[in-house]
Amino acid sequence: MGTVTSRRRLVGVLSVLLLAASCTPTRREVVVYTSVDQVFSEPVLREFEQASGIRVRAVYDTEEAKSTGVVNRLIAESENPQADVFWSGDVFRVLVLKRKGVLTPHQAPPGVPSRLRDPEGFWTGFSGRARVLVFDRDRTREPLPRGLGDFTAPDRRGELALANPLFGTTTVHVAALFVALGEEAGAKLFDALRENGVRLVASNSESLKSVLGGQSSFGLTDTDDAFVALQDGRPLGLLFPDQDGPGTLFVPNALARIAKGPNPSEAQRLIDYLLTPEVEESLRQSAGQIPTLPGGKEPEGFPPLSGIRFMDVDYASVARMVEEIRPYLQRWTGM
Amino acid sequence: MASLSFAAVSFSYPERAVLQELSFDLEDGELLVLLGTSGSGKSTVLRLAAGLEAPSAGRILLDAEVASAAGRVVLEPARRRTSLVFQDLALWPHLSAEDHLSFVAPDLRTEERRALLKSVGLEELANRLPAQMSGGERQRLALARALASRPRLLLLDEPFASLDPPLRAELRALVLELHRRRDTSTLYVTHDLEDAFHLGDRIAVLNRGKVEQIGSPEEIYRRPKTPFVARFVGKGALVPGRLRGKELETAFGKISSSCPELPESSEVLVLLRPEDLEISEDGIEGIVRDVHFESGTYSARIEIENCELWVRSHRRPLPGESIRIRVRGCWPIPPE
Amino acid sequence: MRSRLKAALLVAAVLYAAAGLIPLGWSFGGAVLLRYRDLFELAATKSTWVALARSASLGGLSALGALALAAPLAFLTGRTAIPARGALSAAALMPLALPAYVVALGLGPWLPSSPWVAAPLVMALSLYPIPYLFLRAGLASLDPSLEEAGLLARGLWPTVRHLTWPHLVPWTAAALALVFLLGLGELGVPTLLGFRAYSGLILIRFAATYDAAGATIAALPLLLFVLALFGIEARWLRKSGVFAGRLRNPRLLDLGRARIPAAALCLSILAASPALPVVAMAVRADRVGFERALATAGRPAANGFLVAAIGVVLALVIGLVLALLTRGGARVHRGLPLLYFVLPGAVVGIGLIGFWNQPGLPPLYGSAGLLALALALRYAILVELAAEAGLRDLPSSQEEAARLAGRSELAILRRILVPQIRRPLLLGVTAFVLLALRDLDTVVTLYPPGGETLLVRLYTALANSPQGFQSSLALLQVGLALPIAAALAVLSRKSPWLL
Repeated sequence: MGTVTSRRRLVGVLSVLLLAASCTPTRREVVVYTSVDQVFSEPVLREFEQASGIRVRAVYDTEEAKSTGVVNRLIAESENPQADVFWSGDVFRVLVLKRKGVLTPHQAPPGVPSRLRDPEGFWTGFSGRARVLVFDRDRTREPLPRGLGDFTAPDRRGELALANPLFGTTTVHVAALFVALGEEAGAKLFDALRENGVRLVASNSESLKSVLGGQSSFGLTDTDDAFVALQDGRPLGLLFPDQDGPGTLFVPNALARIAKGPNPSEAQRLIDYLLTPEVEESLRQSAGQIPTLPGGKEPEGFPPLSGIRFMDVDYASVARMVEEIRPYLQRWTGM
Repeated sequence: MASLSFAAVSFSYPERAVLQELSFDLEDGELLVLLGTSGSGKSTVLRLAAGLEAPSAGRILLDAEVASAAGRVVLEPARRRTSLVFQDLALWPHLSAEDHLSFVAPDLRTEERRALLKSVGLEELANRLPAQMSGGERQRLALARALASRPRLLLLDEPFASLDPPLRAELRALVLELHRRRDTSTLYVTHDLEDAFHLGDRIAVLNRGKVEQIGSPEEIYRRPKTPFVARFVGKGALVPGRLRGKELETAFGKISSSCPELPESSEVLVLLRPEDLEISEDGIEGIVRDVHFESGTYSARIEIENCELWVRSHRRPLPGESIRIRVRGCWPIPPE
Repeated sequence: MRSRLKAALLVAAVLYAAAGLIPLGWSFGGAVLLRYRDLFELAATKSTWVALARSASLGGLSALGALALAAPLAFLTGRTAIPARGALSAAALMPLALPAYVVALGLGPWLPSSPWVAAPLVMALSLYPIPYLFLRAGLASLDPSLEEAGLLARGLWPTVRHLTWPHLVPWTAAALALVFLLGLGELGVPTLLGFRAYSGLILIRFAATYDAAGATIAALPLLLFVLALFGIEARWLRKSGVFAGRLRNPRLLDLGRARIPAAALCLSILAASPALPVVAMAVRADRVGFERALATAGRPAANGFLVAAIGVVLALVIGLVLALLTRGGARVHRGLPLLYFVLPGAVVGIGLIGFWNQPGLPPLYGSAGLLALALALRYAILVELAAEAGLRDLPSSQEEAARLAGRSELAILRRILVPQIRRPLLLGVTAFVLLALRDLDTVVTLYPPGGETLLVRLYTALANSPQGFQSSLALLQVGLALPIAAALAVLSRKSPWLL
């Protein structure tokens, strides 16, 4: 082989690779990290791209127990942030970032309910999920349970599948119950659940699969997981737990701006875009999310929401409780 | 002036000493054969001459310049203008014959490369890879490669060890021809006597890391200085004797001989080569123990007075036959 | 090796070590300084040791399981004249294209319910090509005349026991060590199958407590395994002659009537993996899902190949540098690659983010280049081992002949040494690409925004995407890697010892 030719070829290939590896785009762009399932968030971001002409570069999260998650990445990058916006599937991760000084305040449009706004402007909530108990309609008989407490009864031994409470919305749900019931009562409830053979699974979707696969009679999960299964035509029943007690937990999405993000004005554009009834409608249709802005419709396939009592939540208290009960939950899960 | 000089060179591996105060000179334009058994240090001598190893003690000089001294290589291998034909040939399997030459001598023009290949009989195989050549052709390529860089010193490490006799003879003749044509100083290492005697202007016999004797082939064969050299370079019997003036007293009687270096009345070993013996009616009687055919004659092992002698005959003696042997000549050697 | 080349190689090796060690030192050093008490607490907690023991058991069981699958396959395809020997040998490399997580997904409903059986089984099914390759190399490096001498003197079983097996021990040990490390550090499969591995403990500190320093501290006990393996390697495996032996064409045993059952045994192993998981995914994939997967997979696939391509260049340089240093007599420590092998990708990733994401440093962070660097740090050892094996095969006289001719060290490297180890290098590089394509926890921590690979796409799609879509993505992932595994097989074809 001619040495000069081969050397030139090698240099050419290396140059192309280096260029490709480090090419800097010239188009306007916004970088968003999101913990909302990619199947739901990506179409919304693509629509924003088309509507605004701003390129969106995204990092999507995996299910809670499968990786360190985008939150850790945001924390690790905080000295030199790469992201502009964090679109979270819940408020609590945003509060972690706020506490660590990763965020900067942003403007929220006027229509957002006050309970979904951070008083200091660090986060804005919209469109959300509820925690629900799911069951297989073809197999499960009456009477149905009314809340988590029913699974401490001997005749319901081993019926419940629960995602690992150290991760995701399950952590938040447990913390919310501890706030609502008090720490002692909360611990008593969960100890009793464990004694009564609650089946621990890796994630909310595993909880649902456990029900559909027949390993468990009931599973605690989020409405978007249930919605997807319903859309797939699975014979899934759905109930909003603890109506007789503290109420069902509602977990809104939350948006936050990253401090020192590289594209601040594009970040605000994206936040403005997401906080619209149109986006909530898109999420309602794709993920069965529950709109929060005025005029939003209820997701299809769910029981009517007007009769559902949601938990009265102070997100900051729940966020503090998440930290406080962590050692307990580690002991509880044996991890 | 010597092309190559070893001055009291010693070399050791951690577990054993290989060379012990080895000294010899390779004269300019000479073909010196280093002859010895396996493990005698022959290949090590070549590696030291090439600068691939450093001696533990002593000096190595190239054209009177110090090339290596104790513990260090002063002149790097690449600057010694030395070529080595390795025992395993060390051909590069992915390079063609011509590419071998162009790699070692990039300034060689195409015509020169072709001429060199022609001189070793490989002109038709310029584009062949080593795997596509026969054993003999690979040897020739190794030779051509060694010569391509116009070395002042050519080192050959038993290059024909794995070849059959006719091919060996052919390549020996080629080496001689190339050596004479190029007038390169050549150090050839072998354990094969035929190679040594055919090729060497002089032969240095190596034993346990030391040179036992250097001389012409005839000197080495006829007038060995030590029993090892005597046994190594040819067939023959070493019988005890005593030197008295110009006579040697042996179990076979008195034999006339002269060896000015040995003192009077010294105990010696008397070397009796097959050429020194003949079958004769007035000789000493012995019994034929063993006969075999060799190089056109019969070689018979005879037992006389508890000694074993070899004698040649055109007639085939029979084992067990009684036979008379006369001694025509001999050579005394100091005992070990 | 002459001093100038050695100096240049040492500089390159130091840069590599710096690129690898400084980020780890950054995160570990910082964590230990701030949270050294956590380390004592960790050591004093029973659950730490229990989880470590579980992970070590997973690693050990995975290694043994992989060996159990690989050994009969290696012997039958490597030493006997079974039908379709070449095709079976090639197929035995295909599971490298299947990430363990994808195998778990594919086999899902058919796996035993006990995580202690399911998790090692999945790991073994995914990783058995590693011991397979090592055993084939070991078998091919044994001089057949030695075995023939043994067969003539003592017969088959004494020969196998006293000649063949001792020769294979270092190869087997090296393969077991590699699979053990991969099993030890695995996160996805244990999490999916409910096996409480130590990697899960580390994950909790990240995902549940957002405590990177705590997670880094928690990763420290894994270093015990690295130290142990490094000690074994330094004392035993590096003895001269242990991996010696040129790879050659074996003499094949005629099995007679046992040929067909032997081929059937090979086929049944191959059916378990790669066939069954792929078939299961193909059954679950639907047209809609497949169309959607095709529509969305283009960019992630391209990202993956770009990262792999850059990683290949880095891995080649690192592998060659270290192999040449070893050949030149330098004591090259494999501690660094072993560290990157065993540490969770998340810990490595956070360290790399912490070090490289600095305003003053070159814009490596946020590019495919950093991901490629992380993968090269992790898997370049494969290229190094392959290059070392290739160089070991070369008689030193070849290099000496070139030196005597006065050619420069670089010319000798370029024209004599590297061309002769092209095939082992390509083998190493292909294995690197396959492992890089199936790496998840490093990639998912470090991929640049918009730069997700296909495996990350699959991973994020597990959350609520239709099963048909998930299975289609998994099939595409396998489909992309299969040609590379096939290329490995084709390349090995020219090295007759493998096919």
